[in-house]
Amino acid sequence: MNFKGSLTTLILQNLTQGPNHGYCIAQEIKKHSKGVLDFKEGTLYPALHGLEAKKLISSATHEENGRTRRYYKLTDKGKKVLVKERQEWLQFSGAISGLLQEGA
Amino acid sequence: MILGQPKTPQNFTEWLDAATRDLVLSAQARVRPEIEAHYSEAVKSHLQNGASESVAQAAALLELGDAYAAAKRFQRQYLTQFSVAHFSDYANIDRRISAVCMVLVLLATEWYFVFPTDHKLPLWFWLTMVFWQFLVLISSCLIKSALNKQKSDTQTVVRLFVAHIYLRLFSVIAIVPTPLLGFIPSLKHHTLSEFLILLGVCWIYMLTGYYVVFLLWKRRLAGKNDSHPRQSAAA
Repeated sequence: MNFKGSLTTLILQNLTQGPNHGYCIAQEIKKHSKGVLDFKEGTLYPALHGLEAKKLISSATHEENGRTRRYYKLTDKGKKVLVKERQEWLQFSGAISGLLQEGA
Repeated sequence: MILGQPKTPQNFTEWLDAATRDLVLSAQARVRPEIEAHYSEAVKSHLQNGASESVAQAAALLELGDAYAAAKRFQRQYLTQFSVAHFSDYANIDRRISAVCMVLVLLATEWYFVFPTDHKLPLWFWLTMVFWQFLVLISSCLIKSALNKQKSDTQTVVRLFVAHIYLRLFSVIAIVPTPLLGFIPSLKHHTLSEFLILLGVCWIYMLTGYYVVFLLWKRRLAGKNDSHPRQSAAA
């Protein structure tokens, strides 16, 4: 399913559970949406780097099994933005659901 | 393969090259290891699920998606080698012209001191000109320095450019009331036509400088486009 524009919100939401790396973020989004939200993983990193540039997340590298891993962490600014975006999304989806249920 | 269409990457190395090739080296150094780690993890996961090596690699590659779409997104985030070359050209010309303008304004200001009686405008008019020209020169140098570091993201450089253009526009606008204010106290000694001539000279001076910068940059850009390897290959 196409969820253009929502990827950044989903990334921020995922990082509320703690620092995470790119691959794990992608898998968890897919897993929690039961495969409905499928996206190309190559676009995840530009989104992550964009969020970092906006200072909504921060990152640090760690050595793991001889491989360098970059972990992303939600910042205070990111938390505030997530609260706002979550509210807006719930409001929006509630309105659409209400309208669709009326028509059913 | 359709002519004019980019080649679809057949393996991960080709995918990574297509997605990051145009980025500046500092951005490549940041992006590539991260995607490499992602790909390795994906292949490992597919192998654990019982897929053969070739199937696991193909599945991991498929999950990454379109390399060119990823490249476009990365290019929005990071500077490309191509854009750095062009922006640097502009910044170089702009800095030189700004420096020449600065010297001209300083000479004009000095002329005020050398011939204190032979002047049409007050000292602070020239000082205002020096101030604006100095700001423009500084902002031009900031852009050059941001490009030299190559660590700045596209948004930072674009913001610097926008600020620079606003500063240039504002410096032109700010000059308009300056002679007017200088003119009013000495209204008795000057005519309106004299004032308009001065105003016109100021405008021509500033706008010509900016136009020369733009023109030289466009010329260089055209020259570079002719010799750019990607364009030559396409031709």
